[in-house]
Amino acid sequence: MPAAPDAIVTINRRRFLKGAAAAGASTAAVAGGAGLILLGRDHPEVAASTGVDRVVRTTCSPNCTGGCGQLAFVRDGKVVKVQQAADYPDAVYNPRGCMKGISYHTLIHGADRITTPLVRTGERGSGAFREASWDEVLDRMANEMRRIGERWGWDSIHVFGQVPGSGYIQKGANYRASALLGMTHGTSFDFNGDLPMGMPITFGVQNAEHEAKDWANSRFLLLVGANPVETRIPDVHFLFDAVERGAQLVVVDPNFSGTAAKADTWLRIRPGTDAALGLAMAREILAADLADMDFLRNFTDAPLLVRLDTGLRLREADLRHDGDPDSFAIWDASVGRIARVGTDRLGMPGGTQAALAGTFEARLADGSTVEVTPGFELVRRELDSWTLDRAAGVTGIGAEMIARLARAYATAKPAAILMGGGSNHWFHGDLTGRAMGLLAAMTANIGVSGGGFSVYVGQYKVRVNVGPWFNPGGTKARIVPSIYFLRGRSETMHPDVPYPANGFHALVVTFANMFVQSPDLNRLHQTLSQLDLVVVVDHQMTETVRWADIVLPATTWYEKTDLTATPLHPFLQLQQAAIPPVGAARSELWIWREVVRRIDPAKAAEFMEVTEEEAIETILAAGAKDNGPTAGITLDRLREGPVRLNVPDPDIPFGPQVRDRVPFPPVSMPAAPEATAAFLPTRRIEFYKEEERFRELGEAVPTFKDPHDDGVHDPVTYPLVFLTPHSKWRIHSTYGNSPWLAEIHGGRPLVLMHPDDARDRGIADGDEVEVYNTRGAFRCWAQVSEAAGRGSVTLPEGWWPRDFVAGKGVNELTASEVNPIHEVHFVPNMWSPSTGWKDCRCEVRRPEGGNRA
Amino acid sequence: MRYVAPKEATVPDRRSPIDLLPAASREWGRIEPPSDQPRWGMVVDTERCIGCWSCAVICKSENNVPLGAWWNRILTEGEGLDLPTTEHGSEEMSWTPLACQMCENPPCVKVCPVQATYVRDDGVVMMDNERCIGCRYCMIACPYGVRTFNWGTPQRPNGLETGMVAERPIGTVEKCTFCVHRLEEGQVPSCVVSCPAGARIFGDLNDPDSRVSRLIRDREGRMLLEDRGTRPKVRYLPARRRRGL
Repeated sequence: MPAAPDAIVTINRRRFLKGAAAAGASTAAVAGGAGLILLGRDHPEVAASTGVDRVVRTTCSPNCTGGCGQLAFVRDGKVVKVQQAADYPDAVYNPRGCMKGISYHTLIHGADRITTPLVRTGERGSGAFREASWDEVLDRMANEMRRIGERWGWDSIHVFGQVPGSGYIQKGANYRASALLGMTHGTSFDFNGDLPMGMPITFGVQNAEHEAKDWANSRFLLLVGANPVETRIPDVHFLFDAVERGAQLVVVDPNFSGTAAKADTWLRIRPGTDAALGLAMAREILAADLADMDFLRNFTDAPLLVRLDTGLRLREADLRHDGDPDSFAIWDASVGRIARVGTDRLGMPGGTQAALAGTFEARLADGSTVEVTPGFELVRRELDSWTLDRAAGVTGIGAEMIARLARAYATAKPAAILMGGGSNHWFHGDLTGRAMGLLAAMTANIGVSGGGFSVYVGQYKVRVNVGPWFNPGGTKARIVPSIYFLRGRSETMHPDVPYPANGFHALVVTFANMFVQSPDLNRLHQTLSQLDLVVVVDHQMTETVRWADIVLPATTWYEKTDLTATPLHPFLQLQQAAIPPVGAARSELWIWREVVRRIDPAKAAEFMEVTEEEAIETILAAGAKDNGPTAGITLDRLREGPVRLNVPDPDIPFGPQVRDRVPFPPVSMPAAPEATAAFLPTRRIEFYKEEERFRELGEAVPTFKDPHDDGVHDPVTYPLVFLTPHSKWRIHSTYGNSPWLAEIHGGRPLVLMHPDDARDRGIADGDEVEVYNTRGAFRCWAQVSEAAGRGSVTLPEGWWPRDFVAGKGVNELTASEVNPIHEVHFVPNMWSPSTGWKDCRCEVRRPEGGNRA
Repeated sequence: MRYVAPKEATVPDRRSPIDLLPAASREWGRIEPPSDQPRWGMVVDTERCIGCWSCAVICKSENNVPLGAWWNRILTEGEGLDLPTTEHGSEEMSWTPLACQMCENPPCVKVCPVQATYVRDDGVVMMDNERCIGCRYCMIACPYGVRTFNWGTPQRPNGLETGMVAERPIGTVEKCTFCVHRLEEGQVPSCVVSCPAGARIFGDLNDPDSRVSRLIRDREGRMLLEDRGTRPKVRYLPARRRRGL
């Protein structure tokens, strides 16, 4: 019998009501004596809840986009229960939260918790450390940083931390310190492959999604590569709300997923071919005369003329010497001549009938003539090649089914496309996004409740004005996309990327399990071997921590203060400390304050002597100006619970564009408006991209390209596509060491494969197998099921290496190649290289000596 | 079998976790106003259940259930955890959360030689762990397999005691209680609060207008293993018919 903590109390409810001290209620009944037959009211009185010391409202915020309000129940300084707060004023959002969040206390007080600073004593990666004091590790860190900074430049010190949207203050402290010391800071939304490059290319925004409750307003939900039943657990009920109101739910996924199980129709698609499906649907919608051509004229670049000699758009400056280089032209079919179109307002010039097809002659200012054609003519030529049969051959979905899907999608109003990482995490994921965006625009499902094209991956969204906090005294951290940290600069890297002149010499990792969760891990280890200093801040003993020289014990979000928001719902929320830091753990703000103090006391005094609450007040005040998103929101209100940001209800993108004809793109915080406006010279939704690289690579209009890895790993030697989706049981690698969840899922990484693929390789369910390609290999166990499609295998990412047979996991195999299209412009996390986790081929075999089931 | 008395202590400052809830949270968990003589029942909507185990995990946390034991589990209707069956020619999968069915005619009560398992006036089938002698007849009698047995020293994650009720003595049987400690304070069971999909509804079966009564009527709430005559007060709503494109 383990010693029960004194905390365990049995309290009689009536005693509670009287406010008296507690005592066992059941003792009296026991005194009634064994052998007595107890009936009805003679049974022991049931004890009410055992008491707690306090209940604290906070926000669960791993990198999952949930942003779920939780209550921490505290007894004797320990969190003994976490449960959803269910306190959203918009009750449809209640209760928000999942089995992972409500088990978090088993990690706060778990066996892997780091409670003291550590200094490496063995080889890197050996996991040999000794305990140290804060003063020792901070002095050492500061001294090393000063030495490296003076020798190689401060920009050679790189800070990597995940998605600032899930904690503006503590993650902001990383940016603030980077700015003050001149360090480079990495990126995450793009590095995670979650940046849907189709969005900046087409809509000029980082990303723009409907708040989750708006799913319920849809009549038709088309989910591509999205599995909300497993990965959007707090929000998935909005799909069911829509279905109960008569909506149809169609799921496109290579695997029979949890979401497929709930669908009206599930379409098994060949991995990485979603763009081909989209293009064939678009062709069918045009052929059936179901497209809204006026929407295309008014809000997209469809009518804008393109010069066939240069491939550039026809501008007013081409037509007249004094013409505006930023004004464009259409062919007014009503009078048979060219008309000017400005960028100050959407719509078409009054009285015109803009042509969307045909080739015309334009007389230029120099007197010469060139052939011009509406951009949509070029789009249509590409679509013409995407016959139903061709798409069926590429996608594996029947031609007749594609036609029915296209017509159903185009006739249901409003219809929503929800895209997930399964479609986005490809080298050419941008092409899929562009094809889906085209469908949404052709059917006028943009800017309307229940419609839209939304991509839900990554808690990337900066919804408040973080500038005064991230950028102290007007300085800004130099942001280098993390992919260049991993693999060095590319030949086509944008010149604005502040890549350090002397390369990278030190790394500080916070809020991340970088040496497990990065792609192409063997390359990352090459970079690691060149570093003089690796510091890892974490609260769990992850694999990444094992590679550190210095380990700093972090607080969990139940031990500190922060401010959070998410793309999925528009409520601003606090994280509030429920318990004191466990052991010697400290917050990131505290850590950076101490580091900066040791390096530059003057800067520390001016910029780091600030509390979390003061930082929050600063952000709230900055965002309240001009009726901004935090107008009317105070720290006191946030202490009480979630407060809806000052945004439209429902919060859907592009309302001002479609309703009031305000030009695209809306602002993507924290970028300056002009930075993202450069993505869309026409200030309209763009399907034709005139930048030279798009034309060189044959991607000027939405098209389909074979997966990139097909050219790296030939499909004969590596016949299987290797899919590593998000797991139901983890948020990336967080919760990978959850003892309760391991009891449910079994705790062993299983690679899902089709029975025929397994049989061809002599593999049975439960066999130990090796999964490999030219980048690396790992061993796990086979799970054979028809849930898998033929030709692909699936193992959700985020398992801890120690759970595999030989300590290596899925990212031994994944790729890190940079798509040059993603380097045409550069705004960090907005137009920046997005990774393609699923664009990966492999083979699977039974290893010699491997265990059979 | 060693008898272990429940731990008792006096900590004057401690308060009921229900009293400490923020007002909005307490309102969310409030039981729909019952009749004069409530009979508690639960509806599980299998159309909405996503097999996420949130109800099971909060149960484990709320009730301080040791590692290796679950009062509430989620069965996959398929080929194993979250895998479909292809029995009918195409892939199909659904989930059935399973805990004590709170039978009107509970076989466990009939077989208990010491009357340690009994039915309260409000219909909740309960365990008196101080009377339980660990014979486990009830576990054999229960057709749903929802009772667990405390074999030895309970193991907890890194020793963390969780939850809002006292642990049970070693060598006794335990199971779902409909969170009676919460019912006593007017709150629905924790699994109902924590279901993110709105798949669990709790209320008074004696009130014909309660939400549970209406759902059972309107959507043909079914009993599990109805042929056994146990008459559960937990009912399951079937999934919708799928529409083809």
